[in-house]
Amino acid sequence: MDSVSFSVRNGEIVALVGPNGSGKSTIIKTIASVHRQSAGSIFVNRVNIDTMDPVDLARMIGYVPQHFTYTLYSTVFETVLLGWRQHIKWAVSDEELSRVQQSLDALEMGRMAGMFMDQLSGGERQKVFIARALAQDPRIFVFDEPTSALDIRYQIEVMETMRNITRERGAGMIIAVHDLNLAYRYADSVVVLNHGKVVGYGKPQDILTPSCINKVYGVESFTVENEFGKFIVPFRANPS
Amino acid sequence: MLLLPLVVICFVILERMAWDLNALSAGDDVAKNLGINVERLRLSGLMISTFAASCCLAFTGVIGFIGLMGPHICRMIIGSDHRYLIPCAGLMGAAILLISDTAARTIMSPVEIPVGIIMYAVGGVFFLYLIMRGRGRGLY
Repeated sequence: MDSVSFSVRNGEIVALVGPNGSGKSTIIKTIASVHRQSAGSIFVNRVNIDTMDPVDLARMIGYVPQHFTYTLYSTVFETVLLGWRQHIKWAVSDEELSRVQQSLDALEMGRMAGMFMDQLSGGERQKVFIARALAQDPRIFVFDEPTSALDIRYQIEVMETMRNITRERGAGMIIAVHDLNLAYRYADSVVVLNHGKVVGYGKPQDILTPSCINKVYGVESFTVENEFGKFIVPFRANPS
Repeated sequence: MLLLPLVVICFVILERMAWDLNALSAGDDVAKNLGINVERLRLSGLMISTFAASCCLAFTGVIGFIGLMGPHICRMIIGSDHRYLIPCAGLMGAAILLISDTAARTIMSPVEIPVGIIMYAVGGVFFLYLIMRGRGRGLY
């Protein structure tokens, strides 16, 4: 990574876009405390996260991974409950249980609370991990391609839900996405990455242009505008 | 009387790690985001359980397969919540040993079969059963 710098405000959604290997996941994981940065600092509410207690940090930043690895045999409910782990002393209170149920209901997974994780489809598992981050009630959501395994309906539903939640709670959201139209529709700002560097940062309509996409991805695209909005359609890969 | 306090201390330490151990079930990445130092958790869990097992061995000798069978059976019965799994696995190990010891002394009485033989026989069969069952409930 090379001099990456951006910020997220309350209620704002920032999308990270870029080709595979451009560093989106690395940034997401570093913010989520999965990796430690070797240089530079991350500030939440003007506090450097290196100086924060891990428990406090866990309450501030919620993470949804791209790939799910889960080891022990657990249920949907238990997985979502973990989001609240840093607040749980020993026993689980009724309010904590209802918090979990609410997070599941927000993603329309309420009826699946008792099922085991490996009984679910890939998309359902992804929604469980999103519900877990919701239960964590952080100030910042950090999602690594949260909709990649979801069908087109779930993709829209989840993004709408996340946008509502972000605005309602005044939280910030950083998502790494491959789908440029999701970035276009839902992000307030876009950070375009290529080879570990930021090559564009600003509003989606300014940044996600066919020429930028061609420069970064080597893909020809065109924009379509109608009463539903503006859409980008990639259609041809240029020979490299 | 040295053994009891050592084992109790180890048990208490492990039990306090129970929630962090539960969090590992969502994957290392998510556990790190939840504020857990995953490497340290694994290392200390390993060291403490090894220490507790070694203390017991020092007083009683080696009995095979209890460490394998006890937790797996418990997990099949009560699930993966470590708050209950840790004490249950301990008690289950003790129960398995008592049953085996009773069997060892009574099956071919008055000849006393060493407990170890029963444990290895039962444990081996149990292990095969786990493998045959495949990735069913409770097994991972």
